[in-house]
Amino acid sequence: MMQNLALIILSPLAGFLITGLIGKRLPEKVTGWLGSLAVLVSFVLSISVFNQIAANPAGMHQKLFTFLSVGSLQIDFALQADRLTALMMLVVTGIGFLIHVYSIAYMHGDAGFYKFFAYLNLFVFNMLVLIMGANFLMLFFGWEGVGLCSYLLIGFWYENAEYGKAARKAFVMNRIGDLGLLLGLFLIIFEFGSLDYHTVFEAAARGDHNLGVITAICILLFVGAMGKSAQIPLYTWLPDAMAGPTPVSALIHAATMVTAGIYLVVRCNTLYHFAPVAQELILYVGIATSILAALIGLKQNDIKKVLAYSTVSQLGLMFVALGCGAYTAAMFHLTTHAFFKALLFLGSGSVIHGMGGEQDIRRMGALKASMPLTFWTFLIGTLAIAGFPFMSGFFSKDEILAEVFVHNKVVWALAVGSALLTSIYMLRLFFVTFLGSFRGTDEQKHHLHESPWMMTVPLAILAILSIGGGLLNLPEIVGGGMAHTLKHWLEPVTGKPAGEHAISHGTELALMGVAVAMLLGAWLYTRNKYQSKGVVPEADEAQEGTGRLLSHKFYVDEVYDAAIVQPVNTTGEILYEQADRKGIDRIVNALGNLWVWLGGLYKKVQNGNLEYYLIFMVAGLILIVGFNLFR
Amino acid sequence: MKPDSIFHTVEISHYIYLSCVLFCIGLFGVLFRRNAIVLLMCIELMLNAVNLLFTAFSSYMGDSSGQLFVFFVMVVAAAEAAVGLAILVMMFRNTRTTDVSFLSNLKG
Amino acid sequence: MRSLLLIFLGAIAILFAGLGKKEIRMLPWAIALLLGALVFIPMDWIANEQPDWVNHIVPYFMMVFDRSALAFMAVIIIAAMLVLGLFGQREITGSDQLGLILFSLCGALILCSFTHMVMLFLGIEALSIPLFVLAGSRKKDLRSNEAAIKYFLMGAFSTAIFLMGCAFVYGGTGTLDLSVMQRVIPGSAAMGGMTGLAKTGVVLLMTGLCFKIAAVPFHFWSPDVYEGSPNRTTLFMATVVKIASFSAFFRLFNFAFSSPLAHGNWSFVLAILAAATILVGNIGALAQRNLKRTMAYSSIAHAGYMLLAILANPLESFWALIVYSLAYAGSSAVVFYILNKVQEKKGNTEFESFNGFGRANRWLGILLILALFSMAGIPVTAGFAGKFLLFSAAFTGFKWLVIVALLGSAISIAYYFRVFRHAFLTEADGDIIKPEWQDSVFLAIAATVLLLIGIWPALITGLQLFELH
Repeated sequence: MMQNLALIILSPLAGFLITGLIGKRLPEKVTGWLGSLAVLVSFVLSISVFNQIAANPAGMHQKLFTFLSVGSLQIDFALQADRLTALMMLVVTGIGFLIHVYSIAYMHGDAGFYKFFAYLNLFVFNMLVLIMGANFLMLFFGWEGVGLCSYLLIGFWYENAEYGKAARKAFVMNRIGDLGLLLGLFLIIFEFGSLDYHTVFEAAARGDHNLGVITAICILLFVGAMGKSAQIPLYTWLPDAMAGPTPVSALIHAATMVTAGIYLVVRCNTLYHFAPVAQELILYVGIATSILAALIGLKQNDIKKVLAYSTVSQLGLMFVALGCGAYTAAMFHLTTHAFFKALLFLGSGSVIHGMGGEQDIRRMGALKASMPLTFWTFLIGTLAIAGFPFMSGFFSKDEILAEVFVHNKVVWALAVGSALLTSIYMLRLFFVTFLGSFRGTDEQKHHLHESPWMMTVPLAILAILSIGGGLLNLPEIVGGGMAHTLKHWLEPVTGKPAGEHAISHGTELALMGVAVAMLLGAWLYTRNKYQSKGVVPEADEAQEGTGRLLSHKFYVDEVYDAAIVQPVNTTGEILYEQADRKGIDRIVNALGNLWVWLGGLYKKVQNGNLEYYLIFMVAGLILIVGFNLFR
Repeated sequence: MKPDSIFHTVEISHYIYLSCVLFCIGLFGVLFRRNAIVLLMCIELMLNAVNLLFTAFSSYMGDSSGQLFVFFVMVVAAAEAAVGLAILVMMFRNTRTTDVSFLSNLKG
Repeated sequence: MRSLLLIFLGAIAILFAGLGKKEIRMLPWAIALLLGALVFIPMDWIANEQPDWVNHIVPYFMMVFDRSALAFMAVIIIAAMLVLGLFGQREITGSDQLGLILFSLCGALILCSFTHMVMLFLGIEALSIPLFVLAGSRKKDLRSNEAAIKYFLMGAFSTAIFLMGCAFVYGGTGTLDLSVMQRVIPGSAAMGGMTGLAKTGVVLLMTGLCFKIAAVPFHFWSPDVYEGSPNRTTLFMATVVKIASFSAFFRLFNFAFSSPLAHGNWSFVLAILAAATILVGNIGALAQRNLKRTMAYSSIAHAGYMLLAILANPLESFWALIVYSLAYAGSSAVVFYILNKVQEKKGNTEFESFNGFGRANRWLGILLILALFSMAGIPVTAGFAGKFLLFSAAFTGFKWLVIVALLGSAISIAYYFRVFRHAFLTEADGDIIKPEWQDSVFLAIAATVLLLIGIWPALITGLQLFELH
């Protein structure tokens, strides 16, 4: 059965080659199903691997060939599957397959249909290499590969110059992260003399290595994770990446690729164990990102942008968990987030499809009637992410919050704030999009239709997963004997955390209560504002006149609005304008422009005149000789 | 007078200084003259400074390989000069000048 | 030795065969010649039982064809085959130019195998003098003239400096033989280190070689000369000449001057030069609007990366340099081939001329992506394997330099991406280019090199450089 591992990655690769090379000549349906089939094969094989691993916690390892060997350094082209990998494999291939099927309908009629499936298959291949690689170099291959596919897919509709720009930004920002990752790899070679996970972690676990170097390695790896998983300051590419087709946003920019950073940290938990400084850094970067993105998400009107900032915020929350050393909580949230965020993105894709390409929620509304299935599944996704009791997001988010509560009360308070904001912007999105009155054009209204089955079936499956995903890792008070399945599952990888039962059941119940109360508050507030009053985001100012007369009835409401909601909303707006667009974006751009500017400067030195060249050469020569003699 | 005694009166350092001075004269000529033919001559001067140094060291150390090197330098310098002059003629045909400061089309 | 002799005799034969005739197709013969020379290399490799040259000092007769020499010779011959194969059909009309290229190649092969300063000097000159002529081979073209004059004057100037270095080293160590030098320099430690004469000599030699590989601040000639020369000559300079000069660099500095005492003297200066070269090459390339000139700057940057191999432990960095050279030669050949074809159609090599290229030419487009990826060092191409090996070899001694190199390669993405953007992400319809079958064969060779080494670098790095005793 060892061949399974290689087959799992080869199947999407074959899919890529077939769809890429002859897909143009095949009918759309055939190309689409071939691409989907390739991923389905991987999924089925992954299940079989998963079952084997369940019986054999040590995992499996398959060496394909020696990639390179220089001196004492030998790097194999090798695959492995342990419990962490197995979980990720199921998420990637499972959700990947659903999104492939969805795309057959979504991309119907697009000129680049075959190319789209080729890229998607290539992405799945690279993602599998990333998670199944048995050493850091394989991880890096996958890492670069998924970045490349992400770039190709963001810029898929390259006729639009904006899209091309977004693609380039994603590429450049990821390169900054990759720089950190590569440096981290070189430091690992320097310190451990190997890139093999097994060798490195075993050596690190002995604890006799230079802690300073290990901290540096951890921080550099985290810089890589920042780029891929969109954390401050390398996050602005992700909202821009929404220029790509929606299935891409669901697969790459929500469920799989952006979680590679989480995977990397969990994979290296042995190293991070010795680098508390790096863990603190992760904690603070994570919480800052989570809050910032959630605030910005409040004021976005593009349906996909809201979801994008929400993804950034949720990723931040996962990093918060990692910063506390709660690896299970992070992986749990990663999995449930993959379910409900993929669901939400696909739902939004269905909406956009039905609305004929419209993405602005201000021109939607009352879609409930015409798109019932999309409505219900979107509702499930919204409730899951907002933490409706006993749905998947409820358990995974609560687990993170509970872990943070033990670790650091201030960060916990901030994380709760972020969770509250999450509920608000998601419910706002939901109400404005699906309820109220229709605000689009007549043409759009006429065009409005429910999506075909190939789109709605994946939605339904993901909805079921979003509801039931919590079963993976129930807390003890709810699950009893079935509790902490995922924690036990991951123990061979993450080890037994020290403070396992640091929190009492009473506290945990109280924390859950807080979460539910917040959700209730958010529900009431948004329902009141966006459904009952029918406030359209755009019309905030315009309705002031009539709104004020009516508002006496809701006096409390208004005070609440003025004291809390308006400031928060304004902060979101200001953060978007100042921090996101003008601050971080501009700094990153300035960093790029600096080099171009230097290039322009250098052009003046290279003035074509032989005499100057000779003088520069001789000056250099004198400097070098002088330096060498009188050093 | 035995050959050795010459080096007792004229020390090896004198040869080093002399050839360095010659070399620098050639070098500054290359830097500050614009006529390509003069540049070529200055480079030849630098090569001759090198030849002088090689011969001096060779004789000082009683090792023949330095003098052998000088022959190769002379031969190669001749070949280089031939090619160089051919290139100059080609340039002169096209531009009617041997002033190198006119050559700045390729830049940036 | 057999390879060198074969090419030399073949070059003479080709030169005379073309005497008095205006046009004669000697190209197949030249390529057959190179193939023959290439076949000798594995034979010599197996027959060769040379001891480890780093630890054993054996006096040779001015040249030695040990395995390190053979490895470089193989790379250089492959690079030369790509140049001739891809540019033979239209560019080489007279057998005189073909002869000059082959003579220059002889110089390159000498640079792989010298053990004596005289041979080093002769190798450099045999390599350079034909190139002065080739750079100016478009006699009526003023830009070609200018390139030739600049290359010649600066080249001759740097030769003079290089020779001064030889003389100083000769005076400082008392020998011109590399193996003796290697023995003498550590011995001088007892007498209070190297003399100022030897120290200065080493630095002057370094300067001369830095000129050949176009390292800062001796790089000024390269963008201008690369741009003005005919495309084939530029490619030859960028690949064969650069790789041969690196082979000389490696041999001289990691053989003769490799003792810790000498290494301490030159390594720091060279590290600074390498950093400056990487930065200037990449920054200069960012500001260009012309692909050919961009490639010139990018080749400066590549020289900077390759300098890391000279600085690192030679046993680790040797194969890194070989892999990198192969990757560099292969990807340069592909880019220059495409550049040449576009220039034939559009008359220039401005980026705008490449608009829509990738959409009109599917296979050439894929090849272009492969070549650009390899140059930028994106896995799984040979360029990545080369960079990874180089950087990890140099990381132990020069961490800051590796950081600079990584920064440089991150910057380089920007201008490689620009080529990509013009070729693939623009609306315009590009011209359809149909490569002749001979071209396709050599393009396929280049692509195979790039992909195969990218996926399986152990194929090369696993070779045994020394017979282990």
